[in-house]
Amino acid sequence: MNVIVIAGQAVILLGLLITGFGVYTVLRLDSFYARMVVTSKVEAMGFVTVVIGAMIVSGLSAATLKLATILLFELLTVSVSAHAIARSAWVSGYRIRTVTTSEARRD
Amino acid sequence: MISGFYLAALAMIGVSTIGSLIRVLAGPTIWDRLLGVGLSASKITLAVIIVALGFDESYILDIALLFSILGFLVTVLLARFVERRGVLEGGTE
Repeated sequence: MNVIVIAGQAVILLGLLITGFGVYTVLRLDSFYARMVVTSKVEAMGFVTVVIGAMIVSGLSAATLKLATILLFELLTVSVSAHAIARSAWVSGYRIRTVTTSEARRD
Repeated sequence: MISGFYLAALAMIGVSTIGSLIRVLAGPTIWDRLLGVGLSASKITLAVIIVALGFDESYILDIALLFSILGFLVTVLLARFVERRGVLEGGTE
C-alpha cells in the first residue's frame, strides 16, 4: 500500500463521483437532448477518469496496455453512439417544445 | 481476496447502474431507454475493470473490452433500427 496505489484509488474515487453525478443528472433533467449532452460528456469524463486511475494503480504492466486499449475504444465510441441516438431521435421527428434562439424575441 | 476499497467502488457502480436502469424503465421515449442501456453498459465495463483491479488479474480486462464493444454495438444498431423504422438497408419492407 504505497503512495502510488493510494493516489490511483483517489483518482478512481473521483471518477466514480463524476459518474454518480452524471447518473443523478440523467435522472433529474426533463429534456431528452439535455440528457443526451450529459451522457456524451459527463459520463465519458467519469469513465476516462476511472480508467486513468486504474492505470495509475496497475503501474507499468500489461494491464496498463489493455486499459489504454479500452480507453481508446471508449473515447472513439462514446461520441459515435451518442450521435447515433440523437440522430435517430431527430430523423424520427422528435423535437423539444421550447423557444429556440431563432424564434426568440430579438432586440 | 478483493479489498474493501474495491468493494465500496463496486457498490457505487451498482447504485449508478440502478439509476441508469431506472431511466430505462421510466423514460418517456424509446431514445431515453436507449440512452439508459448505453449508460448501464458503460457502468458494467467500469465494474469489470474494478473487479480486475481487485483480484489483480489482467486477463479480466479482456472481458471489459468485450463488454465495451457489446454496449457500442447494441446502442448503434438499435438506434439505426429505430431510425429506419425496421426497414433494412436496401430492402423493400
